[in-house]
Amino acid sequence: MYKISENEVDFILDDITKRGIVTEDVRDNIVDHVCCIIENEMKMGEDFFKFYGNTIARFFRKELREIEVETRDLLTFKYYYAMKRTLKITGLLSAAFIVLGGLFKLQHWPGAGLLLLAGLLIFSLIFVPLNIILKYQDDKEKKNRIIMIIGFLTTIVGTLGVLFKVMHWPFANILFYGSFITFFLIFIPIYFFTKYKDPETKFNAIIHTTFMIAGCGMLLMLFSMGDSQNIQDSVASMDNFQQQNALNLSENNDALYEEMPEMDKENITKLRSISTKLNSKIEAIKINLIAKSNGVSVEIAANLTSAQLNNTMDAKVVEQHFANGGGDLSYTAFKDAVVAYNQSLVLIKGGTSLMPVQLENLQMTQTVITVVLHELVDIQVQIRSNENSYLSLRKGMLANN
Amino acid sequence: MYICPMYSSELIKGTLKTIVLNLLKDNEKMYGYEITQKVKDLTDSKIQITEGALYPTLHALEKQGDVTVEKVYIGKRVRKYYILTDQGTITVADRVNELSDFMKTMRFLLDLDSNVQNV
Repeated sequence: MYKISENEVDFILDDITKRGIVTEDVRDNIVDHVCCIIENEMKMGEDFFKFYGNTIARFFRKELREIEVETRDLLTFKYYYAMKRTLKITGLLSAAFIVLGGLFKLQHWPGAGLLLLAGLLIFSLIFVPLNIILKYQDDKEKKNRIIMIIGFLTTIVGTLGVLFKVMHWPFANILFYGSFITFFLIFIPIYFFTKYKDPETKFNAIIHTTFMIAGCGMLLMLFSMGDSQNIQDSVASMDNFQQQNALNLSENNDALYEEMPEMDKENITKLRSISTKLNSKIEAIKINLIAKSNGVSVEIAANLTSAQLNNTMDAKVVEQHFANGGGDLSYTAFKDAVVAYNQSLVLIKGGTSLMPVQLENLQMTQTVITVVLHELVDIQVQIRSNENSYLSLRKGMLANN
Repeated sequence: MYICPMYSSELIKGTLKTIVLNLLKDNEKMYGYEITQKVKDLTDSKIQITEGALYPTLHALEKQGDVTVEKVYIGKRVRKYYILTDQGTITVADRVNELSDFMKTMRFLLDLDSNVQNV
């Protein structure tokens, strides 16, 4: 039996490495196998290099690298199936969670947020990235890979934008509109021009692009859709009506104050003083909110009403300049002023019919500017009603005397 | 990828893993060349496994955990002995059962028994 030398082993190792066998395990196997064949089958006196050449040729059809490639394919094939299975499961799960989450949110059932969070996260962070990996392996053409990656990445960012919006997290708009603009201005043109050039995909390119542009257009229309004009008009009319009532009461009260005789002056002056104080505070808060929301000066805002707000649904201004704001015009300062008013109210003699302002029944934070302004005017009406009822009562009593 | 003078490669495609696992079940440990020789001897050279098909399969079986490897150094050469794992023992039983059931079905489907009787 031929005994292979160490030099010959080195030669074989070197040769199969040159032929593209780079994985150590595969290389070890082939070297040992070739050595076994030579030792067992080569006849004494036969030329080693010639016999080696014939032996190694048995290992492949075209080139030795086939073994390396097939090994790698078989190994990744296992992951390929695992990935496909994960893709199916996460796809079904995320679709179910998103649909159920949407339904729960519509019905205001508990758990909607959790379902949407799970669904959108699974979709954007597992399902879509897995799609990228699998499609990347499937399609070897570079331009198709680029189109596919841009498309899926905008999907991921867009989905996260929807999730952030639903969960009221910051940067939702940047994510959503950013991905929408990328999709519309980058993805669709690249998709159209690359697919249109290829005669095979030309027709589909036109159809798909039309669908995508139409879809984007419809989405764009939905963006600008707020409340209908009729609703906005009715809210404005409600505010004006209420504002007018407050004004009428105020004028009526001024006249009553003038008519009051000198008697009982102390209580009346006190009532007028505490009412004016709270009223001015409310007026200042209203003007400040309108000024900050519209981005104008306090002087200009003093002449504006809630009907002239640029964004009637502005919640940020309430959060920043009222709910969480510090200083004289914050919710905390306002609450203190109301407490002071209520405390002074009970000290007014004969004022049993006076109604304290019960803030605990009003939700004035975590809402939009229109609601806060409306609530503030409501309180102003109440303050003036208190003055009015007290003054009317005193006037009647004094007349009877 | 088989060189099989008797059978077409389509016919026995997919049975290589079963053949290898079953051989390892009967022999404590085997290396690549030994496996090819054993198959050749047992089948009177009717089935000859090529190296190009054997090694990718052995690597896949190793990755799946059906076999483990023991390395023995012979001078500069490294010989890898393949040994069946506990999981591999279960896999080989499943695969042999499946193949046996498949062969029964094929016999029935192709009506081989009655043909034999007719002859």
